[in-house]
Amino acid sequence: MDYTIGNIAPIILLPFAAFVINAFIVKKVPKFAVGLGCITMFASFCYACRVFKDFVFVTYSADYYVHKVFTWFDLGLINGKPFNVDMGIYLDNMSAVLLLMVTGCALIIHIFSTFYMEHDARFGSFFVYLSLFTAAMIGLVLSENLLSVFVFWELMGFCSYSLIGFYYEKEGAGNASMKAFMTTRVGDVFFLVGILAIWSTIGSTSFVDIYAAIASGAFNDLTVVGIPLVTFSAISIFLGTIGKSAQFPLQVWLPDAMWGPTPCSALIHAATMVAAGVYLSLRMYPLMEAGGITTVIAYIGGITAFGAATIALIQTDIKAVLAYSTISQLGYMVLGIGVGAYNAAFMHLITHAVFKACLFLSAGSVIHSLHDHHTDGHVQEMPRMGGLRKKMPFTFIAMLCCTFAIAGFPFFSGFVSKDRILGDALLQALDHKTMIAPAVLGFIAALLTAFYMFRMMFLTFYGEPRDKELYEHTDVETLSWNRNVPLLILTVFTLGFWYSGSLTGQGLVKFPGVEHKEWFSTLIKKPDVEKFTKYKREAWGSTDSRDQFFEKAHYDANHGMTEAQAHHAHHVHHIGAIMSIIIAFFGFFIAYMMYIKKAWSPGWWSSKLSPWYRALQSKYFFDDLYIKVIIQKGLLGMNNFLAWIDMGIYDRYIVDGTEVINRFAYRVSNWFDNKIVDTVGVDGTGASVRLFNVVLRTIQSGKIQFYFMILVVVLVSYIWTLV
Amino acid sequence: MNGSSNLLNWILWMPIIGVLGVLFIPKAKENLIRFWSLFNTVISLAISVVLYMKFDQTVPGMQAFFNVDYMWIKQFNIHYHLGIDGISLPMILLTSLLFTICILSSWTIKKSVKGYFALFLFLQGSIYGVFLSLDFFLFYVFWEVMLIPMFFLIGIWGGENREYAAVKFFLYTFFGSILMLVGMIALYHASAGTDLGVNTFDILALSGGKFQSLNMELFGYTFSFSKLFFVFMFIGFAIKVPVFPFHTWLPHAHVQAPTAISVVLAGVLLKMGTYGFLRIAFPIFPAASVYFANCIAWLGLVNIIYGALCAMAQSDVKKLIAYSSVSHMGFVMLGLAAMSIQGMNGAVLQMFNHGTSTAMLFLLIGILYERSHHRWIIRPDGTKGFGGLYTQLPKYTIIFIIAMFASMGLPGLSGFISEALIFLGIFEFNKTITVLALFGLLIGAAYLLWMFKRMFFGEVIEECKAYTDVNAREVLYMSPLCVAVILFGIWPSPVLNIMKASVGQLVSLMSQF
Amino acid sequence: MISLPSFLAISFILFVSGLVVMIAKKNIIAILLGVELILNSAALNFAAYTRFVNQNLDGHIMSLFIIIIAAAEAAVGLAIVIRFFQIRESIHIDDATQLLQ
Repeated sequence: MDYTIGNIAPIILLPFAAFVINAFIVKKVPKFAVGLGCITMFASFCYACRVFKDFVFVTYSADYYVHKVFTWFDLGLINGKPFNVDMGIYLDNMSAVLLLMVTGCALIIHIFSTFYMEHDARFGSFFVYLSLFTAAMIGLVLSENLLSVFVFWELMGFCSYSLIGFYYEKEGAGNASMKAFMTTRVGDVFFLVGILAIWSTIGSTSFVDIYAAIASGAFNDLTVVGIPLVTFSAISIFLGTIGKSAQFPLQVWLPDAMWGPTPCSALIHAATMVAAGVYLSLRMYPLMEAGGITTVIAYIGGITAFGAATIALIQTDIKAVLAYSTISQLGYMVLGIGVGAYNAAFMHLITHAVFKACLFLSAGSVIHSLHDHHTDGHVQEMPRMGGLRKKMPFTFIAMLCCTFAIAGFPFFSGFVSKDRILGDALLQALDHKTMIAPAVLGFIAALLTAFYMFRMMFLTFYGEPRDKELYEHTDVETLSWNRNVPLLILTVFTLGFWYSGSLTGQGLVKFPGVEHKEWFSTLIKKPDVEKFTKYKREAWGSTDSRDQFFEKAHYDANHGMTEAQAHHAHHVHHIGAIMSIIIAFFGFFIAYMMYIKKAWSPGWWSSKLSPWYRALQSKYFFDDLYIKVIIQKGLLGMNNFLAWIDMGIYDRYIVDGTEVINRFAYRVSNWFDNKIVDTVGVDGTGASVRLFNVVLRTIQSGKIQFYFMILVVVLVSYIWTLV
Repeated sequence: MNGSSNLLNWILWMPIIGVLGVLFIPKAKENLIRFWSLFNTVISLAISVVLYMKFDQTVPGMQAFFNVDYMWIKQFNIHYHLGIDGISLPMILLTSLLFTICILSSWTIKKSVKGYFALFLFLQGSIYGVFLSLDFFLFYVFWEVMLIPMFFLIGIWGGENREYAAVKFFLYTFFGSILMLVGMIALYHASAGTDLGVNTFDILALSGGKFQSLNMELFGYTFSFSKLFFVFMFIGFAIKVPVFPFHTWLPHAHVQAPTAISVVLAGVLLKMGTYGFLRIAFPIFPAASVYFANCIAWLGLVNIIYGALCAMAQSDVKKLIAYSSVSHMGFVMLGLAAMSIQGMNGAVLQMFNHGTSTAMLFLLIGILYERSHHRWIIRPDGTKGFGGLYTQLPKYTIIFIIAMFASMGLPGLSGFISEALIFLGIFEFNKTITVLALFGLLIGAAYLLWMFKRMFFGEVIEECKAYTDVNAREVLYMSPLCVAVILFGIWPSPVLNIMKASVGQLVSLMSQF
Repeated sequence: MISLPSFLAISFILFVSGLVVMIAKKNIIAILLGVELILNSAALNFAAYTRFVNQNLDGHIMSLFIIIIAAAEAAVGLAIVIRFFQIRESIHIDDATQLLQ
């Protein structure tokens, strides 16, 4: 299929249209709005399947991409060249896979939401936001330039804000939504700086132009505030990723984002939006590499993966565990980018989206069932759960599979992707001393992940029910299409063989007449900026790379390595794989000993490590630092001071103070007038004036006839003299 | 050299006809007065739409078709000269739209309806005059005349402290006007010495950097004529914008003024200042403008940051929005200082977009005020003024969200494109300023969201339970602005296309110096 | 044939009597009547001069104009008198001394 903007547009316009229509009708016919949201989502999903089929089954080339632009608006000629701001599509294998993931997850979560949100007062409104969000996320995936990425990026931020604050009667939801928006906005502002730096240098923000500019050295020798431009823009854009993907040090918003309804947490704060940050860094990978900041990225990723995993260890709220695990897994993806595991980072993005969406939906399923009759609310606290596998066997199985996946057990998707990231981290650590720390942090985080995930499973589903009354009131799970089918589908895709054959022996992508092995590694390749120098976009025209690049493979099979290096890498990867398997089982074992056998006491550990435990309880003091110190003491203090200066000092004394000058001038002139002019000059003449005064006062009687008579007398005497 | 159209005369004098009409309607017939004023503004709006349709977007500079030029005072070569180009047309459209909406929002004015509407239409006429005049003298006349209705509208229909605010507004602006007057007279006398050969007030004839090499003596010192009087004009216009440190009249005037007047003040009047730069200060003294560009940019930056920080500290909603206007006009100043196509287009677009988004916010505050009769987010005694409005007023909240996010420059709503263009322009000019100004965006989001959180989230507090949601009239006048804010966010070309030729011409003039 | 001096004489008599009425009478309406007399004397002068000196229509037109003015003046004057009466309950000219202040 030849993709044009016209025929790709429905995939984004359908959910968007659903949003527009639903926004107006949702109050009147909420059920219809829900239906419309789901149907348009399904249509988009079908379309994404079509795109996926074309890229993965038909074309099957690492180099194939479609790039089409149209002019959004223009400002006429600048220095003889037209200044156009373009929008368009850039569709390659990565976008195609991501598109399928986004629409698929969105569809599944739409369906699950019809179950989860059914009794909510604002059942319909929820779908309005979901439609807008999905449209924005699809738009981001299809974007061909950074500006349009930013547009959709911010739109998603808005949806995230609205959905976190969905239960707006609660004060906490308001705080959380504002926190989320503002924290990501910090990253966004830097992202915008990066866009501006690139835009003003090469006159375009298109990915293709950026790659070409990097390769041709257009950024060389340019500096911004003393930093090389390419590094400056790379850091700026990566700060966007840090904000959106909740990386250290801007990770504080994501746990609070759990105030939103659980399906929205699954879609936005686990599967798609937070992954968009990682996607951006992947897209801008050549820039990151050219800017020389991959080490920084690896450190950020490693610290995040490790730090978030440690906080997850002590969480008691089931959603909070998942939230921290999301941050931790996003840290893995960033670590993957940092160590050059481009393909693995992206694969982890996809596999994580699937298993984390499933985990959140399962958690939602659990929370939905646990209804506390005293407070008329749902229960999310794990200390009140326990033994639930008998009540909800289907949810339990789904969640268990996902836990295997996230913990990195063999044959599950998480193993495939995480193992590759850790493998590459190990490879880097062996080569460079500086990269040892991120790799170590990554491996420890893997251990912690396995531990806290099984801890969550054991606390929720195993053992004796800790809140008997709650347990009694909980109904046994019955199969329903909009609760269990979504979970089932996602569970199926937590199996590893869909993504890779490295452990099962077969990469499974089958289609009548076509069979591809290891499709993921074949299709998603680290971009080679060199190739873009041969291919510069015609000035503002649109091009399709199909003809030029279809035949040529610009990558060799070994990810740009020599045979010996590839062999070494292969070897290291095997070591990494074995290590991660051992680590996953070890994590499982600790959790088992602590929570099933109860042989080891968690309390002993927390008392042994009490300073650290306190740090974990207050989330390493980041919230305190940001809110209490920076915002309340610093920013608000400064604001109040400035506002006081402005109105209390500047306006009151300086501006209004000009009145004092006035008054002084008035006094001086008044004195001069009274003492000098009046006493000496005027009073002298005053005597004579007073004389006239007496005469004139008698004449001025106010009687009009008297005036008139004087007039006549004067007139007559005047005429008399004339004559 | 009159063009073939009298449209500019019509649009300029239509509100004055409206004033005469209002004066002839008996005081008691309040509804008739209201409908007559509405009718009048709708006619003005219709004329501006005709202007838009007849406007040739490809022509830079003044359009001959609309030109109106009569001799007014022959002895001093003063003309009644009206014209329109791509910079003034968006302002005319904005004025027409906002005044129509403001008439609708003023429906609930109780005190002396006749006087209010007469003055209001008078204000509209004088604002049109400012945006249309091409003769400096005429411009100055309208600029000053505009103060009179504004003074009374704030001073009579305002809040508790209205006299103070009105006098402050008047004196502040008047101070600037005097400097401008000096500049104007100096230009008039200097013009005979240039290639013009005669004394003239014609803005178009004066522009183009004719006074560059001129020097003048003042108090025994020699000054560059253009630099000295650029500073004079700058202060004159800067007070209107308002540029730090001339901004303190704005919070007072906004807080005291009735809703519609705040809307006009923020939506249109502030733009007269920046319009003055674009029409008078920059074209007449291009070299001096380029010389002072860095200074303007830094002042713009101070505006952005300082306005935003002060806004955050306010507990009166209207004062908060007033300071946000200071902050947003700083972006316009940045765009002007950039003197590039992107920056200038962004600045003019921002003038238009800020007009719509801030007008929405002020109207919404007015709607709320009609229900609550106070504007405290947090009262001085520490209790909440509002709470849980989201639950209580769902429709109102949705409109508020649109206005708020447009104001903070969310992509997809109008503020974003203008801000992005301004930043693109200023980035090439001065990178440090850009990076610092972007923090203004951050604080801009912070104070709005914080206000929103405190007023709208949470449980409905007791006194808010009596508030009613927006009624049909309010929805009627909010919806055109909502549409404008969303439409120009997605598709800015209709506005950009009007201005880009004229802005391009101005930029190419500036680039020669 | 009556000659020009006769007309002028009558006109003079009218004028002087008007003047006397205006100065001497205390009733405002009477004063207004005096004004009318003066106007009429002027009108008569116009008519006379144009008949004997200019031989064209200018004076006649002027006379007509004076009549119209007189009518208007009377209307305005009476209106003022009525309003004055409403305020002061008097039409005595010495009550209208507010110009003093």
